Amino acid sequence: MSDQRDRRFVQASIDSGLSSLGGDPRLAQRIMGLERKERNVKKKLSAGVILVIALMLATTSVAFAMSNGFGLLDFFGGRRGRVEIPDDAAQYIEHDLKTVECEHATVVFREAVYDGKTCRMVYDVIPKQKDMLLFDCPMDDSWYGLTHLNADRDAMLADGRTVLDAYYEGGYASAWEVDIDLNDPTEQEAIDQYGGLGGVLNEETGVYTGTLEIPFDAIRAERTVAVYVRLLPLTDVSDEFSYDYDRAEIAAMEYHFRAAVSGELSTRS
Amino acid sequence: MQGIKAPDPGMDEQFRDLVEDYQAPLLKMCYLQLQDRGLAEDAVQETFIKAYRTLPAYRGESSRKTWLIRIAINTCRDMQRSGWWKHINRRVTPEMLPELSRGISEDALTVNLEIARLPGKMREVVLLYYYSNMQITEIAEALGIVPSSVSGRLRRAKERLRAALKGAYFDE
Repeated sequence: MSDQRDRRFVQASIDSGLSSLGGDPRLAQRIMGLERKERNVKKKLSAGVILVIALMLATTSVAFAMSNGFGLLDFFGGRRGRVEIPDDAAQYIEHDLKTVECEHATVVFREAVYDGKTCRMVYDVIPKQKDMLLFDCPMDDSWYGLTHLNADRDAMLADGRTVLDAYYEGGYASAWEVDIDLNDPTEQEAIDQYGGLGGVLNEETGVYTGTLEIPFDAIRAERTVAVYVRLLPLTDVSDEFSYDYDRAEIAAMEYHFRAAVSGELSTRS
Repeated sequence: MQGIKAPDPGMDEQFRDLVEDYQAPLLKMCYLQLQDRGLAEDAVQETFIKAYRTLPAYRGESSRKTWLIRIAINTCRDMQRSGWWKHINRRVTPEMLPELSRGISEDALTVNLEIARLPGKMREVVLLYYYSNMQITEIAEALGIVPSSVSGRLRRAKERLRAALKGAYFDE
């Protein structure tokens, strides 16, 4: 009973409080008109795109062997992804780009592709101790979702465990959130628009594989991007999951992309 | 380039109904999530664009509302993942919500502000449960989390809201 009362109260409060937000009466028409113009116009990755990446450090094959092995085509071409991957796309992916050491982990920037407009990357965070839990979500999110690349919803519901449950049951000594920051060193400004398809934790090896997708506004044949993978140790799991920012570890690398011919990977609707 | 397909009048009508039914509530929900009118309008427009593109493939596996709200939540999350969002101070004051009318009751003003002040993941479930009238299992489906996580976040959010409203609402 009180739940219904609370719902009515919240609905009335938000509707009356934000009554100025009515929306655009022409929104549907505008969207349908725009979409009709753009429908079926797909820009495929040109066969002529040549990707050249300047390597800053030597890579290590040992680090690669320790990784989950999931690559760009697994993430972006799979169920999580929304990118049409051309059959010959694999040749444009650069592997084992750079490895950076922190006190508690090794970060391998393992795969990347830049087509002049969008940069996509996969990186591994390899813990140096076996009892370190790496994650990228609130600890009350699904453990099954964190540990499976293409999480089946029914299986996720059947499992039912949260990351916090697994942290307690798994005997982990510490938990670290994996975070990302980006910067354009040539323009000396932060890169604000980026995303990814989340990451996957290998429960057996403890390796976390993350993804990064940076869509730029303009097509440019060359770009430099600085990527900072930040590991934040968790200090409190009682309510809002506090982190010790003073002990954060950062794996940083700078990346210079050059695309000889620009194109754009098409997107699924 | 393939030829442009003729518009499907049945689908267009469905889409118009969708926008008419859900634009305003989605806008309010996105505004409380993003706390910026421009961003909220962008998020709603982006949501309906994605909905229009995927409407032909929609098979009714979930309700229309759950499906649309899932798109909206993910769109807001994408915006909140930006570097700008992470580094700014998100302590919410009334001045930061200029769209919030001052001509409402004190309790109504308080609940709007307190919802805006909740941590993002808690705010999502509060808006979906109390404002969008969704059930726990629907919310779990929309957010891609287990129902116990939804219940846990709701419980913690209720404690905060109860305290802010001095026990008038959100009983245990």
